[in-house]
Amino acid sequence: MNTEQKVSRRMFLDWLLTGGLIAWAIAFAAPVLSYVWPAQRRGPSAQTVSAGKAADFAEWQTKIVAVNGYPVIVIRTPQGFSAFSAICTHLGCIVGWDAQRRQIACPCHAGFFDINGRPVSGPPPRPLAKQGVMVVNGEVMVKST
Amino acid sequence: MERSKMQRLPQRRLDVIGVALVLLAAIMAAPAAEISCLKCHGKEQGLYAQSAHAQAGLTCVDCHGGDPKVNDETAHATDNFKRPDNKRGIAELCASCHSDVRRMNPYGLPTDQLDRYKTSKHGEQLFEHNDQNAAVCTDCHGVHDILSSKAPASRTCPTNVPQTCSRCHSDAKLMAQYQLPADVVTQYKTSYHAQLLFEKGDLSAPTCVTCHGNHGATPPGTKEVGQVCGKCHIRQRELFEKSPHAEAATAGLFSECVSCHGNHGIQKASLALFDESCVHCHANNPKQLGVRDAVAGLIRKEQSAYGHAAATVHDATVRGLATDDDQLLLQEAKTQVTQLEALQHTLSLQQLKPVAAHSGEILNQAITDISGLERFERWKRLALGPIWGFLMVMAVLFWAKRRRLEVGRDSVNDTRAGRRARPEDTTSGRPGGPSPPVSG
Repeated sequence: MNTEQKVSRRMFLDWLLTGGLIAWAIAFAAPVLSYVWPAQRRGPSAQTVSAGKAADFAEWQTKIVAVNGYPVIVIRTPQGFSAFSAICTHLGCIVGWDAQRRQIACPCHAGFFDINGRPVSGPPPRPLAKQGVMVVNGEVMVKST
Repeated sequence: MERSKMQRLPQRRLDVIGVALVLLAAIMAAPAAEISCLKCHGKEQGLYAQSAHAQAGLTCVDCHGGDPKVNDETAHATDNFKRPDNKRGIAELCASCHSDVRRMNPYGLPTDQLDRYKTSKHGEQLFEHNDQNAAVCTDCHGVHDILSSKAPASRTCPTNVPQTCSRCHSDAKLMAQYQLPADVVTQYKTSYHAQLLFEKGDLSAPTCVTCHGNHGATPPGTKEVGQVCGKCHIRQRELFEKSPHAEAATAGLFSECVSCHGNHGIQKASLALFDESCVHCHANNPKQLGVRDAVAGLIRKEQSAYGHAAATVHDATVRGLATDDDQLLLQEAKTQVTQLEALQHTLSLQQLKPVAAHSGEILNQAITDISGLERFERWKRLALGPIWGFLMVMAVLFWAKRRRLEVGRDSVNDTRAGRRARPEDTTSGRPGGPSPPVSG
């Protein structure tokens, strides 16, 4: 009886040790495995953000998406997609789309930019920064620059 | 065969000499106009060489006429000779080309400068009062050394315009004749507009001519210079038109932007303007000052909330927290706060309050998000305790296992040593006797 008790204690300690070692091994192996795992299985990198399905964009439709914490305006023109930083070059307000004028408009001081991001009227001193945009498998992907 | 060669050689020599003579004559003839004028006007030629007119291929005779073939004063004795002896003549001489659409089209220059000049104060003084003090083309553009306004050394390049105007408008004696202040350019140099132009190198920043016009008077449709601010500050102008001040401005009781912001020495607008400017007209009206306090208080509160949230997000970013979404919220809030600064031109709390409320909501969300991130960070720190506990337990288990293995090994060794000392053990009936239990 005494021997059985001693054996159970040993087994218990062995289980604990084995379990701990397995947990330790997993903690070490997981980051290594995630590092060597094929990149394409993890989806797009943090620098590239989806703006949605290309088919969901009507002509002259726009959308503002966040790329690395900064707003980017994506525009579908008859020539294709283009994207610009949505931060006005005047005082940093977030710009919007003026559908009637087909221009990018800043709501703060009525600055207007054309569809190439160039200022056409109002106080903005510089064009909006251009962002990379591409359609991959029917999805509009915006790249930070 | 030989004879024919000999006959052709002198003929070839003559051809070459003939061509050389023709070329020499052409070279001598081409600069004749220049050389004839330069004999007496060498100094002007030095100034003219770098000018926009010289670059366009024009020579002295294109403006002044005369006979370039004559090398003395009689060169002036032609019907087409022009040397204006008054300012009106200068304006008309310049306009003889600059009002000619065919001549100006290749250079993309406007042709209405003289007509516009005649509508300006300078032009009125000259053409209506024959005032020879009035500035004419050459006073601003130079005479022989006129440069394109895009050239940094040009008198009409934006960075040089204040200096060009100051040549007359800082002359106290001259300005006194017209009851005009002589410190306007000095004031301008202290302004925010001048800071943008001279310190930030922003060539689109307003200079004298942006507000007052250059060739013409104030831009079309403006009753006073204060109204031209709306050319650049479009949104503010639109909002001002909705304010109670707009009526006063229409009635001539109030000079739109200038009454609050000033003109030549204009400074960057800030909330301090509420304290400084409103009292000029409303010092004895507590109700109107109450509106001022409500409007200024609302903006001040949102600006302060934005500053607090921006500092919180910044601190969180520096501490390594993932604040991408909060940066975006801050940008949205900044848009609302900046809109508030423009919206205050309406003096309408009804319009200001929804924007302020929206800004407040966004900032609260950012602060809540950061609090959540900080809570998670605290939880992660607390989780260090169990992790360290686990490591300690593992260490103890390893120690116990090692001890057990060592004791087991010692027991085996003891047994082997005992067996060697007692080769014939009779109690167990087997060599070595019973093995002692292995203790863990």
